[in-house]
Amino acid sequence: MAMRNLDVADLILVAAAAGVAADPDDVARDSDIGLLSLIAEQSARAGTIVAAAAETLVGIAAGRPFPSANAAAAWLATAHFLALNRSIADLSEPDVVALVRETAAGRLDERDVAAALDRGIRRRTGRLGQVARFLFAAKGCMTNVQMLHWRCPACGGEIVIPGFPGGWMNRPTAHERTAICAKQNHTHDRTGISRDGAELGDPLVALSREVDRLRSLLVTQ
Amino acid sequence: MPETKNILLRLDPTLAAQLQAVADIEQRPISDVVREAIRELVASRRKDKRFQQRLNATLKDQQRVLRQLKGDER
Repeated sequence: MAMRNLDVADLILVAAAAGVAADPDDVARDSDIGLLSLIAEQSARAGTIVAAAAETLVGIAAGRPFPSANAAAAWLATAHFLALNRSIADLSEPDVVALVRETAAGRLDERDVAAALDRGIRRRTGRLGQVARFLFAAKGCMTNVQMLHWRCPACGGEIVIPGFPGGWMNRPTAHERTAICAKQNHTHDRTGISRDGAELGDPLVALSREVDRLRSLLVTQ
Repeated sequence: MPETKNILLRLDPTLAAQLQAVADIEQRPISDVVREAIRELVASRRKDKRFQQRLNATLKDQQRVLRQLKGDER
């Protein structure tokens, strides 16, 4: 997937958001556009997201293209760049503050920053990925198997099925619940017909059976 | 008049020639044309809702770190 880079206009908007100035036009007027253009160009040339993020952070924190708040702008630009590229730098607050301050002081270069970011970077799951995970992924590992309680659709009795909590695909079907209830509670057979012959459960199921019975009578006549 | 500063801008030769041509035709300094181009680019990017939403979300996430870093240059 193509990397979404930050251009000069993006960097100016990010700096305004970081508190350099309230109006991005003021930021544009008072900033070193040449340096911003160079930072954007070097970041775009970097081969990986981490390397591009490092170019952005070092370029702004150490190069100081803005009239103020360069450290804050540097980190916001880095975090925003990562977010646009579906990534997150999972670093603690003290680690981030130390990383930016050391970079601003000139004690860390692009390679050091890339190594530090690389240790904490992780991909952010998109909306589609979150939905897929919710639907299809079992929550936790085998040690998280729990006894899940369900209602039998035929008799309303409680049944217990071991499984993983959560996840739409883990839900047993009505037929499965009826069959399991037959085994656990012995009040009806696996199709939902009671032991004493009486109909149980969903009136639509009962109606369907009645229609089947009448249809078979018509055929035989 | 607001204070101005000199900047060094690296441009590829084609873009530099186009910039010079625009400045010549409009009889304005190159720096004026560059400033206007940047202003227009910033204005159009401000209308990019996805960019702004993502920026606001990142700003909210990073609020505490940014507060600490903002004090560095006071």
